[in-house]
Amino acid sequence: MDILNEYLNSTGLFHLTLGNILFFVIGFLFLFVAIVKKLEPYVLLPLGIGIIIANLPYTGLGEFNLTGTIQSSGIFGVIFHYALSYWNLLPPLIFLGLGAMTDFGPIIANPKTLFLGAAAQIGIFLAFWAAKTSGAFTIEEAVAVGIIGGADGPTTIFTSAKLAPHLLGITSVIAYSYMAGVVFIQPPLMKLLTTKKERQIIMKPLRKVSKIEKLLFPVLSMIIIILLVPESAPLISMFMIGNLIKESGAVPRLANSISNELLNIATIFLMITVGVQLSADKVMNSQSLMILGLGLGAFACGTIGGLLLAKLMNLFLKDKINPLIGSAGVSAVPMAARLSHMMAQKENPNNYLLPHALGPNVAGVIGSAVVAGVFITVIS
Amino acid sequence: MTEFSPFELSLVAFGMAFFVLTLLILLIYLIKLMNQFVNKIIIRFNSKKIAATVLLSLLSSDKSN
Repeated sequence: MDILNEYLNSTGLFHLTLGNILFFVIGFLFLFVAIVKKLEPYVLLPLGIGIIIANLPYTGLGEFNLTGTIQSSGIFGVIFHYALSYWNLLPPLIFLGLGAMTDFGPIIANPKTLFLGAAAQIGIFLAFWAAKTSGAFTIEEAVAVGIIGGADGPTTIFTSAKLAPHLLGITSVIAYSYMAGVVFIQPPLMKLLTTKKERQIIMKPLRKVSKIEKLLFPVLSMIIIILLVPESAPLISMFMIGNLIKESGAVPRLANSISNELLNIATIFLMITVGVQLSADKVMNSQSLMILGLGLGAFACGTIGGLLLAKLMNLFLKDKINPLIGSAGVSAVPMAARLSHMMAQKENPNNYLLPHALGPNVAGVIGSAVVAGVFITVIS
Repeated sequence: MTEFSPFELSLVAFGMAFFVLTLLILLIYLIKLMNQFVNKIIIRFNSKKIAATVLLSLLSSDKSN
């Protein structure tokens, strides 16, 4: 009988807390959104299952003991330690895949839209500033919270892993949740800050970009960015390498592997591992609630920043830009760009805004990586 | 290490993002200009080559006549 009692005590069943059950619900909600609603399924599905695993007591899957006995670490603990908090490998690998999927054509054809990607980073600074002045966060934690405003998952993970690894789970889950919820967060702001006439603006078709321009841009821009912000090198170099491999056309098998197999493998490990960081005992505190609010504020402010700069630019431009593309500056590739396109089509079904919105969208990715690099340089 | 206020830090990072992206805009215009220049040279070179070929063929036809 004693043995039975002891065994039952060592099972997870008797150690489940209310917090664990709440996180099961959150995990299942992520699975529902991914499978049924098809919102960011590649991210939310592994995240959701990771959250469920994290809240099963006594699995030890997320544990890592460098000096412990043989096999005292769990698989996700080992991946978290080596691929994120120690070497920070997975976010750059994701950037390699994203680079191979990115087309710089819209930016090269209409470079002005790069400014929109910069303006949309305002959310990062406001959230950082609010987090720091609240007194609840250290400067490193405040940066990890602020970077959620960049709406760029790998950059958020990269920055959190470097500056505040204990917040990595919550910051990345919130960043990806808001990215998935872009269709709910941005439209009210887009309608509020633009007039019907502005939303109906049809932009001039983009010029054709030559192959030589597409080949030179990733190489030269990589040199410029890394010279100025060396800490952004892991993300920017991988992004540009991926893009060059794709644009060269010389190694289609490599481009295909990077943008499919490699990206998928990195995504699986990254998302499950991040999800496993979200156990109730680690995350259920007032700080997490504050991060939730600050992240939303950052996301909203980034959207507003992009929209307002687009309106401001229109005061000086001969060929007007549709301010709806400003909100795509918050990264969240390609959902934010797609949303700008959908909003424009609601006003005028003949308005094809997607290629124009992809410019600020990609600029947002570069912008948030630069900002993360600057923060890391100054703080660490 | 010098202590920065959150405001100063934000200003530096935001300013840097704008500066880097402005440099990228300039880079794009530079690449475009360079591309146009190279294309012009190629066109000029090709037109000279065509003119020379035409001239040579005219001369050879003149000789044969």
